[in-house]
Amino acid sequence: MLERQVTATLVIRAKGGDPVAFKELVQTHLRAAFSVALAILGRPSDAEDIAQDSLLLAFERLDTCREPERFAGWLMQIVRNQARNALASRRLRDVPAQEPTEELSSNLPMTDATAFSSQLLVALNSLSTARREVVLLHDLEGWTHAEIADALEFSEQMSRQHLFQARRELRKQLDGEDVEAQHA
Amino acid sequence: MHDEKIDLSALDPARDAHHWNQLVESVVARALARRQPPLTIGYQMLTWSRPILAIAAALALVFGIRELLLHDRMAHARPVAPAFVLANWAANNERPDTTKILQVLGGSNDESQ
Repeated sequence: MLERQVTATLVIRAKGGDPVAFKELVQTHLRAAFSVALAILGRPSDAEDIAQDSLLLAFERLDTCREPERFAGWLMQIVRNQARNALASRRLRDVPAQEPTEELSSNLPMTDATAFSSQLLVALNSLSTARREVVLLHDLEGWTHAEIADALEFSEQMSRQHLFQARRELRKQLDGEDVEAQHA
Repeated sequence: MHDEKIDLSALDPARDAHHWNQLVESVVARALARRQPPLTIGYQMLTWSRPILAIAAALALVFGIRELLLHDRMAHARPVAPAFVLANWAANNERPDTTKILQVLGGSNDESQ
């Protein structure tokens, strides 16, 4: 993640329509937006769509971003709202909840990598949304606890606790699957 | 140890660099396109019509108020004028001839008929 002052400068330049600033903001925040959307939706393809839509929405509303140095937190709030709306629509359409594995297994040839992705998604699905958000932002995106706390609006201590619990639960899930696979 | 990082790179959307770069480019292009005003005649007219309408409304307001004030002054001035002349004549003990009196009161005579 970029330093706050750098982010603020980029946001101000983007407000003025600078395409380079736009690109830099997308490059540095699209993955994090994807992680937060994935934490809520559980499906990579949906998360990708929501991450894109959220960034577009954020750029449309850029003038309402009052604290440019806190752009990441502001954007993540948009991502969360968009993802929750998408989840609500999906529930209304009565689509079963555990589709990440089906999505991966049906559309792609089952390589070791895709099989592991499926396992990870199933394991992540067993966590609470907050724990998923923290573990994805920390272990996939490389955000610090301070950055996570700032963006998701809870304390650093809470972020550490979520990460600890999330890792423990994930290991339990993944190790359990390994043991089952060995026995099978 | 639970403190060790979990390898989630299998879920990293940027693993497919080509796909990811396309995604980034697409978001940037769409964001810029949405911020750029469309170059259609209708849009240009719309953007010009707003300030022009605002200026027209402001001018109409200024002239409207001015007209109202002038009208108000004229409305008060008309009935006072003949009375003022008559009062002057009375104060100065003047005896104007009938023509002058009719000239001063001419409007009110016409209205009464």
